[in-house]
Order: sequence, then C-alpha cells, then structure tokens
Amino acid sequence: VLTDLLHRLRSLVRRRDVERDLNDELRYHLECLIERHTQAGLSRAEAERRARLEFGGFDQIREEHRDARGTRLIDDTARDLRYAVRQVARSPALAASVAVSVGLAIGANAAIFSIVDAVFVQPLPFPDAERLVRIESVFVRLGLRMTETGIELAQVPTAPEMSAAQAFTHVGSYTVGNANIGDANPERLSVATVSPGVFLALGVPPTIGRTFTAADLAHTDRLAVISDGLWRRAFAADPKVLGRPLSINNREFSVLGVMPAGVRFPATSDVWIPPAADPQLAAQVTAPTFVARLAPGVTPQAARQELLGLLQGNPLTQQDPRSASLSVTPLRDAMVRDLRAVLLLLTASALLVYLVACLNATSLLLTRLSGRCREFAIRRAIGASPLRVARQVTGESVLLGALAVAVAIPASWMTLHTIRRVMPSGLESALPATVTTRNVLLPLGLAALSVCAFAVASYAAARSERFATLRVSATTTGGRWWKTVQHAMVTLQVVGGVSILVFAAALVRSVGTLTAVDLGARNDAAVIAEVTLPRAGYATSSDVRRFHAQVREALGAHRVVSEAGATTHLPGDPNQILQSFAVTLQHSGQVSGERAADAVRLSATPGYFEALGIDVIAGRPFADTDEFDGPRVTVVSEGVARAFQLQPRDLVGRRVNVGFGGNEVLAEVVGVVRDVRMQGPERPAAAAVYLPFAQWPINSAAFLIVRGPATARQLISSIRAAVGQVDGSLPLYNIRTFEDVRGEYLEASRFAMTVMLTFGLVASALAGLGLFGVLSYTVRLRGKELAIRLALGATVQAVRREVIYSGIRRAFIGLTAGVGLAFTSWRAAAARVPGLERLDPIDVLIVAASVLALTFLATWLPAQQAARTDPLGALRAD
Amino acid sequence: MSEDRLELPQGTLDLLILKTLAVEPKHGWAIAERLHQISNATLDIRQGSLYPALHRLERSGLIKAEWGTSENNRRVKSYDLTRRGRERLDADLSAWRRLNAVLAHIFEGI
Repeated sequence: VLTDLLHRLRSLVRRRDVERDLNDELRYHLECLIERHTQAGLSRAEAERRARLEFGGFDQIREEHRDARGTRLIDDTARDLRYAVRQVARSPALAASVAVSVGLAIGANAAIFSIVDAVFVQPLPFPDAERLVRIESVFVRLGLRMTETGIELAQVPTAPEMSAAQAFTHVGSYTVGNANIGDANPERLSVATVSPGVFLALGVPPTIGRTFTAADLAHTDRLAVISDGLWRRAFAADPKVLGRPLSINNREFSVLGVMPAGVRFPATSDVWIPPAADPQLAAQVTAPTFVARLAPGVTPQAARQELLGLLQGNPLTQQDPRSASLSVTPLRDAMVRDLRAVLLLLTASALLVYLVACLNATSLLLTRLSGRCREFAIRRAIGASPLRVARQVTGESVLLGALAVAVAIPASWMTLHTIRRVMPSGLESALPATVTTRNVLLPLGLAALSVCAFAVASYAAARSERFATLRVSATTTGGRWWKTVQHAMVTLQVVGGVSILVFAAALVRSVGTLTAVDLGARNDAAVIAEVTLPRAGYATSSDVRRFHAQVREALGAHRVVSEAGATTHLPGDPNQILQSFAVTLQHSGQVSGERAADAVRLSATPGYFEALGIDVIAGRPFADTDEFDGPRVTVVSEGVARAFQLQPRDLVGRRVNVGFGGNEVLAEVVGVVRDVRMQGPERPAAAAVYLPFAQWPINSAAFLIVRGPATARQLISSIRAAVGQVDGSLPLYNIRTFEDVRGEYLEASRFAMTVMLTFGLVASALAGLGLFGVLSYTVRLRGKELAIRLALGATVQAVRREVIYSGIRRAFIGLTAGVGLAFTSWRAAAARVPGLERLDPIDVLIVAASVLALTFLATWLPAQQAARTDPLGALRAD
Repeated sequence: MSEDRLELPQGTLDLLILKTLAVEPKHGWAIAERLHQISNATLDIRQGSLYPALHRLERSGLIKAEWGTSENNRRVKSYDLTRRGRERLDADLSAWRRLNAVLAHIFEGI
C-alpha cells in the first residue's frame, strides 16, 4: 500500500519526469522493433509501419499507462480546471460580475448569519443557560410610593422571599445604573447592584477571588466584583488585585473578585456591587429586576403561576389590577427582544439578495453556454460523453464559485464591521467581533449551492438535444427549454428584488413618520452633556443648588453660549421612568369643584426651555429670580391647562398644589409651555409640571443643555471649561446634540432601513440587468426572424413594441408575485414579531412603479437593437 | 495476423512478465523479445500493452525498476523481481499448475 501511494504521489508531483521516462522507454522499444524488422530484410518504411502496428497506438498506450498510474481523476480534473481558467479568462467581465455579485451576497449573508448566530444560537456564557429566567414587573404588584426625591417601593420583595418558590434553585435581584469609577480620571461605567443570589443563579465562578455572600454583607457592603475588561483596563491585569481599592462615585470599595472574560450581566455592566451599597445608584433606579435559575424540568409558565400564588398572600398586591404584567422570560429571549424584528428582516432580505444574485449569475452563464452550443456540438460529435462536456463546464462553475468565495470572505468581514459601526449603541455588545470559523461554513455552503446551480444548469444545457447535433444553427432562437428557464429566472429575480424593496419601503415609511413627529422641543442644535454629582462631595441640596448656579454663571461668561439650562429628564428617551402624580388647582371664586390633572414632575433651571426650544405659550419661563427662598413658582405644560379646562393665559397667576401624597405645597403658575413627548415620538406627549431647580434640587444625573451661535464643538468645549472651572473632578458623559438624542431612538430602524434599501436596490439592479441580458440576447438570436419580418413589411414600431412587451410581461408577473410574497410574509412576520407596522399600499405602489420603470429601461435598449436590425445583413450572415 | 495465434487470457500477462523476470533483470524490449521467443510467436501480445502492465506491477511492489544502460549504450529502464514478486510468482505458478491439472483431468476424463 505504501509503495502504491508513493508511486501515485511521484506520478503526481513529478508528472513531467514520469512522462519523459515513459516516452524514452516506449521509443526505445519501438526502435528495437524497427531494427529487428529491417534486419529481417524489410525496407525502413515498411519496418516502421509494421513496428507501429505491432506496438499499438502510442497515445493509447500512454493513456493506459496514465490509468495504471492511478492519477487519472486528478489529471482530468486538472485539465478541466485549466480549461476552465482559460474560459473564465476569456470573458473576464462575466467572471467579475458573477464573482462580485454572488460574492457580495454571500458575504452579506455570512455577516448577518454570524450576528444571528451570536444573538440567537451561541450559548450565553452561563452553565445551563436555558434554565435562567428574568422576572420583571414584580414591583407594580407591590405598590409604589413616591417621595420628594424619587420613587420608593412600599415593600420590595427580597430575593430570599422569592426563593421560597419551589420553581427556582436560586433567585437574585439586580438593578443597573451608571457610576463614576476611579479617582484621578473617572470613567463613567455601567454598574449593577446585585444580591448574592445573582451570582449563584448565573453559576459562573470568578477567575480571581470570590463573589460576595450574605455573610459578607453583614460586615460591610463596600465590596466590588469587577469584569475581566475593567480588571485589565484599570488594574493592568494585576493578579494580586484582591483587596485593592476601587472608587465608585468617590466612595472606596474593595475588589473582591474578577469575573471571566465575556461575562457581563446584565447588558454591559463592568462592576457588581451589593444592593444599596451606593445610595446614589439606589436613587437612580426604581425597582430591581430578578434573575433566577429554574429548578430542573420547571417551565417559565409554571414558575410564573407559582410566583403569582406566592405574591397573592401579600395584602399590598391583592388589589393591583396590573398583576398580569408579572413576567417570567427565558434570559436569552429577554436579552434579544429588541433585536429580533430587525434581524429577522435582515436575514430574510440577505437571503433574497443571495437568491437574486445567484439566479442572475446562473442566467448569465446559461446565456453564454447557449452561445457556445456549437463548440459543445463538436465536442459531442467527436466522442465526448454528455457527462464529460458537463464536467468541463462544471470546472468553470467551481472556479467561479471559488472566485465568489474569495470575494465573500473580505466582504463578510467588512459588512460585519460596517454593521457594528452603524448598529445602535447598546446593541453592539451583542454583536460578534469578527466572522468566526464556524460562520465561514455558511458562505462555503452557499458557494457550493451556487456551484451546484451553475453545474446543474450546465449539465442540463450540455445534455439538451440541440447540443448533440450540428443541425441547429447557432443563430436561431434558443430552444423552448432555454427560453422557459431564462424567463423563469428573470421573473424570480424580479420577485426577490420587489419583496426586499417593499420591506425597505415599509421601514422608510416608519422611520419617516417617526422623524417627522414633533417632540415639542425644537432646537436640534442644542448640545447636551450629562453630569452626576457624587453624594460624597454634594451631600446637601444646597451643594447641588450651588453647583448648578455656578455652572450657569460660568457658562454665561462664554460668548458662544446664548442660553444654558439644566434638567433632570431629557425629552426623547423612551426608557426613562417618569413620576406621574395628581396636581390640583387651588379653589378660588371662579372655579367650582375639584380640578385635577395627572402630570409628570420635572425639574428645570432658568434657560432650559429657551436652550431646548420649548415654546412658552403664556406667561414666562423660569428666571434667576425664582430663588430658593423666594415664593414657590411652577411652569406647567398646556396639557395641565387642558385638564383644568382653562385657557393657558387664564392659568398664569393661579396657584396649584404640587405636593406629593396629600402634602399641600402651593406654587404659583408663572408660565405655560408646550407639551413635550418625553418618551420619544411613539408615546404621546404628557402633561408636565416643571419645578424650578433652585427650589427643588434633585441630586441625580442632570442634563446640562446649551445653545448658542457656534458649532457643536465650540459649545462642547464651553461646557467642559465651565464644569471644569466649578469642579475639576467631575466627568461629563454622553455629550451629544439634541438631534443625536432624537436620532438614537431611530437608530435601530434607520439602520435596518439603510441595509434593506441597499439590499433592495442591489437586488433590483441585478434583476434589471438580468432582464436586459436575456432580452438583448434573445433579440440577437432572433435577428434572422426579425429581419424577415421587417423585409416583409413589419414596421419598426411593431418590432420594438413586441420586444418591450415581452420584457414587461415577465417583469409584471414577477412584480405581482413579489408584492404578493412581500405582503404574506410581512403579515406572517408582523403577527409574531412586535414592532412591525402594517404595509402601506401607497408604498407598494411606489415600489411597483419604480420597478416597472426600471423594467422599461432594461427593455428599451434591446428593443432599439431589434428595431435597428438590418434585414439584408441579418439574412446574409451565417 | 494469422489464425493460429492465441489471445492471452485475462490476467496472465502479469504472470508471464513475472516469470520472464525470474531468471534475471530485463528491460522492456528484452521482456517482449523473450516472450516472443518462448511462445514461438504464437502469443498475440500487443507490444505496447506491456508498459501499463509493468507500471501496474511496479506500483503494487512486485517488481522494481532501475535506470541503466543497454548493450548499445542507450538509457533503459530495467525491471527486477522484488521479494514479494518472487513469492507472488511462486504462489501464482502453483495455483496455475493445480488449475491446469484439474482442467486437464476433467477434459481428458470425459
């Protein structure tokens, strides 16, 4: 066996030597034979003839010898490949267009597949992750109590209480917030407060040190577990990091453990600290979410039922009508909820693009193959089997497939990076950093599929009867078979292109609608920076008040800043939690009965309304004269006036009760402003009561807002300078313009829209090109027929009309089918995936019209070509 | 070709080559000559078909080849039996003889 292998190998590697040796051997033999015959008395010529006869065909023996070498298949394949390379090199434009279109389509699929894979398929970095669930909305069942400084839970269920449920093995509660991490150069990082149960439920041990336990918390809660990333960044991957201090909001914590790389829970947290270890974080969030590990064999539904029963015993919750909102969701579902609709659409359109590209390439190849039918006919005539011919053609397909893969691999990498760059912030952590090896399998599979499609088409072409005969002239119209296949493929391409375009149009519409929504705040150019005052340095409300007053004063010194303000809640963030409360109008002579309005409570400094462009309808905005010890004032939005059934100007000067929970705190309404959509364009505008920051200082994250006749960059440096002047240790974060804030909300939809539009346009362009190719080729084939008809008196217009009609007909079938497909699949998807709106018939009409226009363009040139057919020339040719 | 020439049964060419090489190493032409002489020109062996057979035998390790020079100073490839070739020859020959004897017995006996 070994000698056998060595021989084959030698034959392969040193083919030329082996062939030369064989030739030498055979020639020597032949000469000896001739010699013998001449010695026997034959003439030289006769001796040679006899010798050759006895010896047998030289080439035949060489072939047999090659067979005996056992490298036949490889030899043939190599020859087919050489042939393929020559064929492909002969029409580089075709090769390039096939490789690029199929390659790009495969690349896009690979990129999107690797995202789908990372988000939906690859396991979470926790053992038995399918048993992890997120429990939400427990707090609404327990009643909320509002205080002057935030929301407090009347009774927070504790993790031990929840774990009384048999359905879970471990339960932990967590909240997420942001905090300033580090001393000298504080970083603003996502910090999670977690109960010890969270670590137990997740089941991932730290790589260094340990996680905190209930016993630890009895002594101190200044303990922090940090992520691998933070450990490398802030501690230079120090293996003796345990016990080292870590400053969180200017308070010192000690590092207790380091979690493994890749473990960041929830979302992108870098630091885990015990619940309530940082009062500031506790103020930032409202209520904890729970993560739990289901006992083996327990379903989330069963767990929910048990939990409901457990909470039923709590008198506070019995009356709560919102009990249905308690949810127990598998952790992965909870994490990918927002991505699902977008990814589904992207995957579908990527596959459609691939389909269109593949059909396009196949149809191009077929067109060229049928142009080579004479070549095949000759090959068959001199004895090549259909299989042999098909194998040669397959060689080309394989080569084109390889070229496509060569394009696809860098393309997938680039697509992924583009997607990562434009992907909505916050979601990018879910995305893979690179296309992994396992995800290369998909492009390879798709490439193989394309090769198969090419090859099957080639084989069918090579087998088809007309190739076996020379009777058919190469210039007649293609056979029925060819025509049917080509037209079907063009139609399918139109179907693919139209479907994607319809999806894209729907997204354009929803993005457009949301962009056009008036938030109530008009100044898109306002620059916004967030700042959080650490409690350590700003313990009292007068500290907070002084800080904001000083910053305002410092900003006033900057010439580029015309207005500067601050607030506690920025319009446009759909995730922010607003406190709604009842505000009542003070009784007075003209008004009878109780007048009350539900309103959100916001806090703002002078300059806020002007800086953000919120119109004042009546009265005045806040002024510097609304001081801490001055008379209590308020600005309300028009929604409050509406609820009071008063004209805005009539409300100015009236007194309203803005106190919480039965406390009477009367404030005079000094102004009425427009309603603002605080939670983004999809939520209605809420009635709001604004209280002056100076009278109601709230120590939480604040948004500094400036506007001025300057560029965003200049305004940003002004804010930095002003804050730095007041307190150099404060980090500013999330610096952006109001336009960005509005944009953030639309990022996901806008991103999907851009990708879909690109896909749709590419697919439609390909379909148009396909139609153009097929039609112009048909016109070329029909030259003789058209010539005869023109010679017999057909008008040029009639010929042109017929060609255009034949093209439009295909496109129209494709268009109808495409619209139908888009409609049904959209409806099916919308039923399962929240966030997809209904398709707008007008959009569909626009798509249909543009596709028809494109078709007309694609048919026009071939029609012109047909009309220009020169009767005599066409008949004389061939 | 005359009618008294015999077609070679399938698979016997290998055996013939091995047997020819049993005495001494030979090159291709010499093997052909030897077969021609011994069979008194009654065997119809297409000279050229020798070479694929030689290559096959070489590949299966029954013979080995070596480049040398001929009597008239030409570069020739000469073939020799390997140990395995010799064993195969012995085995095949005895099998052939037994088969022959049995066949002869049957043909004569009936």
